[in-house]
Amino acid sequence: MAEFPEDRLALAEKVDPDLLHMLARMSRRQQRQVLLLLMVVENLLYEMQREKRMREDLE
Amino acid sequence: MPRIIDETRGTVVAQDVHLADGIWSRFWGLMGRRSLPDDAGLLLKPSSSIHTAFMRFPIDIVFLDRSLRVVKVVPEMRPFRVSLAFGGAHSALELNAGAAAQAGVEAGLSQLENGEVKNPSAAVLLRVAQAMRIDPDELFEAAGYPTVRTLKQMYEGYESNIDPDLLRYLGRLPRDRQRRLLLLLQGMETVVGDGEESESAAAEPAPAQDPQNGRPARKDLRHGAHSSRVRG
Repeated sequence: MAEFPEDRLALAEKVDPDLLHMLARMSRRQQRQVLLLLMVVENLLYEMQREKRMREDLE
Repeated sequence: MPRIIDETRGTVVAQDVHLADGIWSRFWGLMGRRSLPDDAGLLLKPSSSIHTAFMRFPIDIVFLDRSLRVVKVVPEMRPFRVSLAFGGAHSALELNAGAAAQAGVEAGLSQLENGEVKNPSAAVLLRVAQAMRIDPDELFEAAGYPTVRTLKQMYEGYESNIDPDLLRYLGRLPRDRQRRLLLLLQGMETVVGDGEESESAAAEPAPAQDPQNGRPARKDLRHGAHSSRVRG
């Protein structure tokens, strides 16, 4: 349990400090919305790439 | 270039320094001149050797490396002499005879800076800390430089304020995508800010209404942004 904050610290160090600064100013609710947005965009990109690959395979 | 300062000692070496960085300006240098005005100097860049042929007065020469650290000082060099500097000399500052000693410029110790007086460089702070046998981080922090300690404190503050799942998600994104996300969020913030400004400007002459559909213009969005900020 004691190692958990250290892990989070190591994670935070991997993230751009300007981005962290901006996110830290947001409320937790907005942070969850940003996460949701990122996951949706990632899913969309994955779907688009998959579709593109399928189209290429058909051609 | 207005003036050159000895950053280590905090003294002004020359008040009015001219830069000679072209072929002809470096070739002519101070040749043929009768004297150099008081507190004036000529910086020859690049230059690692100096001759005083056809000069009419003695000069001090301060050889500097690329980071303007003094590598060699030649005091009161008389006309028709040659001086070479080894050990990384990149430029040479010609001064009136005695000016270098007056400013306390010494090879291997002085760090010259052009322009205005500013905070000491990290290299100077490190040397001072070593000479005084104190923790360099204390001097760095006092001068406003980030240290491992301050950065750790900063990151501790961030990680405790950020959703752990979001932090985990961001941690595995490459830096370029993180920067793009930052730009996107900044853009969104600008849109919200612009919306607030235009709405408050429009609200004064008439009640805020969207001209296309007659509904209140972005009122919900503004309210949402305000309320979430208060919560944050």
